[in-house]
Amino acid sequence: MSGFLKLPSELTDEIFGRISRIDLYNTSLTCRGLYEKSISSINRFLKITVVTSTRIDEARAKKIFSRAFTDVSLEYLRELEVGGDLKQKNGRGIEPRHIYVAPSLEIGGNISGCNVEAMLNQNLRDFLSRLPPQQLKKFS
Amino acid sequence: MSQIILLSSDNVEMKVDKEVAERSILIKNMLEDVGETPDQAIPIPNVNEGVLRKVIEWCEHHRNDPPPPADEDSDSRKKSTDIEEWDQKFMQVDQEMLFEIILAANYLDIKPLLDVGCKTVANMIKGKSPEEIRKTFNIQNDFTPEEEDQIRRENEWAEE
Repeated sequence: MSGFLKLPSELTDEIFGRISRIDLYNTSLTCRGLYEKSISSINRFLKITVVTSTRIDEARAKKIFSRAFTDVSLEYLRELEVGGDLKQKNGRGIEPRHIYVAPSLEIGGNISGCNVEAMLNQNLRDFLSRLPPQQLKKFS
Repeated sequence: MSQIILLSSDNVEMKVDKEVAERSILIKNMLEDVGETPDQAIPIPNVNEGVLRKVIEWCEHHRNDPPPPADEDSDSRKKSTDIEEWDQKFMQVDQEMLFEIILAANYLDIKPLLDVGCKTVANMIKGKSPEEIRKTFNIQNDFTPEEEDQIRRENEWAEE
């Protein structure tokens, strides 16, 4: 067995903390053992981008966002960016480990706090349901 | 200069300067608890002779290093993968030994040596494809093609 696989996860975490996410991703693809050990480091890149519109400033977006998390563990969040570029055509979309949330005027035209909140929560749930079960276990 | 005796897991005794052995926080704390320099050998049950000699060699070379600052910025320490020349040469060992040194540094609580070991492994990963990483560390791919495909899909964002 490779000596690498004999290291406990506290030590592989030390190593994975020093490499880029691309290197980390390539490492996770080598075998099951390293995939499992790299999950927690990979997930440190979980990123959520809230695209703000002119009608929602950064402070408000952050407030809505933190409320949306009341029933979902904040531990999943590794990076929150407010005011990022909108990359999805329809105003909201999900990429693995990167959630874009844009309170878009096109969707229903209503941007009351309640709707935005519901949308954030919906997105997050969608996202979490895509993670394999063993990843959710590692995280809790 | 007072000396102490360390006993490896395979029962080999090694005499070292106390100052050198105290690069290991585990040994340092142990000696402080005892209060005086012990006559008897200190057993190091997790480390065999070859690895212990290597670790002592590192401690000898770094015996006069200043202690790391207490509130060291761990982020900058972690991000850097620069290794000083002597340490680079020191780490040019077979892989079994490399990982044994990392495990021993962790057990003996020698943080700067653990750092050097982790940096060395990190540098061996950098810029390599999964297949190259497998070759480097002699890792068998035990994924099914479906599993591999799924991980690739999960991580598409990483390939920006």
